[in-house]
Amino acid sequence: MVSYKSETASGASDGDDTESGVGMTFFRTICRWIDTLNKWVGRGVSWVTFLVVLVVFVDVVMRYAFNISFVFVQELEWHLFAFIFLMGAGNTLLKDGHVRVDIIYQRLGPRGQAWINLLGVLLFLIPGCYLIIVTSSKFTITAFQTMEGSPDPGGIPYRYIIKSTIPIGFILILLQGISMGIKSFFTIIGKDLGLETQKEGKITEEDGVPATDTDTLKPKLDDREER
Amino acid sequence: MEYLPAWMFLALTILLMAGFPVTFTLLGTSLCFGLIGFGWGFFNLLPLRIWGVMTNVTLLAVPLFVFMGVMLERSGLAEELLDTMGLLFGRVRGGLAVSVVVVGALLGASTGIVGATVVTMGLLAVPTMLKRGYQKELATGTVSASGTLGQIIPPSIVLVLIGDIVGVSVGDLFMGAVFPGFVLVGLYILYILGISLLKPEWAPPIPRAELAEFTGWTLFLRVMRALFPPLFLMVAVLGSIFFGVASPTEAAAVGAVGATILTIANRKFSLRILQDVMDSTMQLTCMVFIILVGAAAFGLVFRGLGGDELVREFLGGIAENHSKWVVLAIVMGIIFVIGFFLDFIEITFIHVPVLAPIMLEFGFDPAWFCILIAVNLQTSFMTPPFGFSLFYLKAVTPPEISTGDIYRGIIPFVLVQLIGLLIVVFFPVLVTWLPEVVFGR
Repeated sequence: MVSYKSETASGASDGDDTESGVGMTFFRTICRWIDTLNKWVGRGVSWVTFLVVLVVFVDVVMRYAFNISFVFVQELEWHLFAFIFLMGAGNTLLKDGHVRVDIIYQRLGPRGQAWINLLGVLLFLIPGCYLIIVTSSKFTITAFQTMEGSPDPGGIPYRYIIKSTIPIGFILILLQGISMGIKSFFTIIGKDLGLETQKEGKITEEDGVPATDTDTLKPKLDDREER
Repeated sequence: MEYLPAWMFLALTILLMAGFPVTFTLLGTSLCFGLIGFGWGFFNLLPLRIWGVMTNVTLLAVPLFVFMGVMLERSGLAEELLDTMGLLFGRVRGGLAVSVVVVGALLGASTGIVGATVVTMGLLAVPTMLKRGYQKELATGTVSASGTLGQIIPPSIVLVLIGDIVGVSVGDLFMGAVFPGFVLVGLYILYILGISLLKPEWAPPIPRAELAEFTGWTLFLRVMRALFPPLFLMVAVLGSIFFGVASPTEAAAVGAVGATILTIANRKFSLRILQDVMDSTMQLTCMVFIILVGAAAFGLVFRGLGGDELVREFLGGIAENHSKWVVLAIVMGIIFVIGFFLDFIEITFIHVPVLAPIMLEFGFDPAWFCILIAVNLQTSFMTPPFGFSLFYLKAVTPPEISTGDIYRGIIPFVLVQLIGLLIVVFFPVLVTWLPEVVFGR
C-alpha cells in the first residue's frame, strides 16, 4: 500500500523539526490522537464481522434444526452490519482503504499525492462529512426524542442507538480526514511529522499462504517508475 | 438549468480522475450541485437513503461472502488445487494453463474475490508455467483472466450488489449466472487449447516421466482430496440457495463458518489469521458501503435535478430512431469503455442505477440485463490501464515479467470476453433457462 505517510521520509524532509517545535508538536499530537482512536475503534469493529457471521449462522441453524426464529436475532443481524460499515469507515480511511481512481494518482510523487489529499479533504471530505453529520443528527435526534424502537413485537427496542451510528461514524471519518489533511500539509511543506506508519503487520508468506492485503479489491503497486 | 445534471456528471467524472477517494468526491460534488439546484433542506432526505442501506438484509450477504472468501484464501485450498489440477491436465499441451482456468473457476465458485485469487495463482502458477517454458504473455494472461471468473460465477459479490440495485432476486441472478460462467470457462479453455495447437512452442506439456509417479489410484485420490473442500462448500452454499433452503445471506454465513472449519482442519488457523481475516472483511465492507452512501447522495441529487429524464430522453430518442438493440449496444459499449478507468464498484453504484431502469422499460429481461452488466464489469478487471487483475498480477510476478507482457497477454482474453458477452446477448436462454426450471416460473 503506497501511503503518503510512509513516503514522507523519502520527501524533502529530513526530520528537522526543531525550528517550528510547538506547532508541529501540537499537530503531531492531534494526528496521533486521531489515528490511535480509529485504530482501536477499528480493532473493536473487526470483531463484529466475526460476530455477525456467528449470529447469522446460529439464526440459520436454529431455524432449520429447531424451527425457531427470533425477530430480535434477525434485527441484530442488520444492526451489526450497519455498525460495521459506519463505525469501521474511519479506520478504513486511516489505512487508505477507500477506493481511489488512481490512474493519475499512483503516478504522482509523495508531494503530488499530498496535494490531492489536502485539497480533497478540504473541498470534499470535510463538507461531505459535515453534510451527513448535520442531516443525520436531525434524523437521530428525532429518533431519540421518541425513544424509537423496532415496530415489530420482540424486536430490538433501541433503534435510536443504531441510527446514531450514522453521525458517529461520519464524525470518525471527519476526524481521520483532518488527520490526513494535517499530514498532507506537512508533507507538502517538506516536514516530517515523525508519525509511525499505520501499516499493520500483515501475514505474509511465512505460513506458506500468500498475503491478501487488507484491500483485496484495491491494488497498490510500485510500478509507476516503470511506465 | 436543464442540463445541470449533465454538468454534474461531467464534473464528477473529471474530479474522480484526480484520485481522491471516490466516496468523498461523490459527496462533495453532490453537495455542490444540490445546493445550486435545491438548497440545504433537500438533503434531509439523505439520512433516509443511508438508513435504507443499513436495513438491507440482502446487502448483509456481502461482508459474509467476503469473510468466507478471505478465510478460504487462508485455508491453503488454492495451492492444493493448483498442484493437483496441474498433474491432472499436465499431459495435454497447454494443460497447465487449462488447469489454471479450472482452478480459477473452482475458486470463483467457492470464494469470488478477484484480488485474492489472482495473487495466489500469480504467485504459484506463473513461476511454474515459466519454468515449463510457457510464453510469458500466455502465462500471465491466463492467470489474470481466470482470476476474474469469481466475478461472474456465483456466489459473486457483484451479483449481490447489481441484483439489489436493479431489483432482481439474488437467487435468480446466481442461478442465471451459472451457464454464462460455463460459457466463459469453456471459451478460455478453447482459446488455450487452440493457441497451443497453433503455437506449440508457447505451451509445452509436462514431460511424461514426471507425471509417471502419479497415475491411477494415487492420482485419483489426490484429485478427490483436493476437490472435496471446494465442492463441499459449493454444494453447501449454492445448493442451499438454489433449492430454496436458505437466502443468499444465510448461505453466506454457512459458507463463512464452513471456510473457517476448513482452515482449522488444514491446520492453518490461528488468532492472527482470524484477526487478519476480520480486518480485511471490515475494510472491504466499509469501502463498498461507504461508496454506496456517497452514491446515494449523488443519485438523490442527480435524480432530483432531472438527470434520469435527460438520460431517458436521450436513449429513448435513439430507440425510436433505430432500435432498442442499438441502445443496448451503446450502453454495453459505455460500460465497457468506462471499465478501462473505473472499477466495478463505481460503475455498479453510479452508472447502473441510472441506466438499468430505462433499459428495463425497453422490455429487456431484468436478470439477463444484470448478467450482461456482470460479464461486462468482469471484463473491466482485465482492461488496462486500470484493471485490478493486471495490477495484482504485476505486484506478485517475478521482475522479468514487464507490465507490457501482462498487457499483451490479456488482449486475447478481453476478446474472448467480448465473444462471451455476445453469446449471452444472442442466447438469453443461457440466463433464463435454469431459474425457470428450478423455480418453475
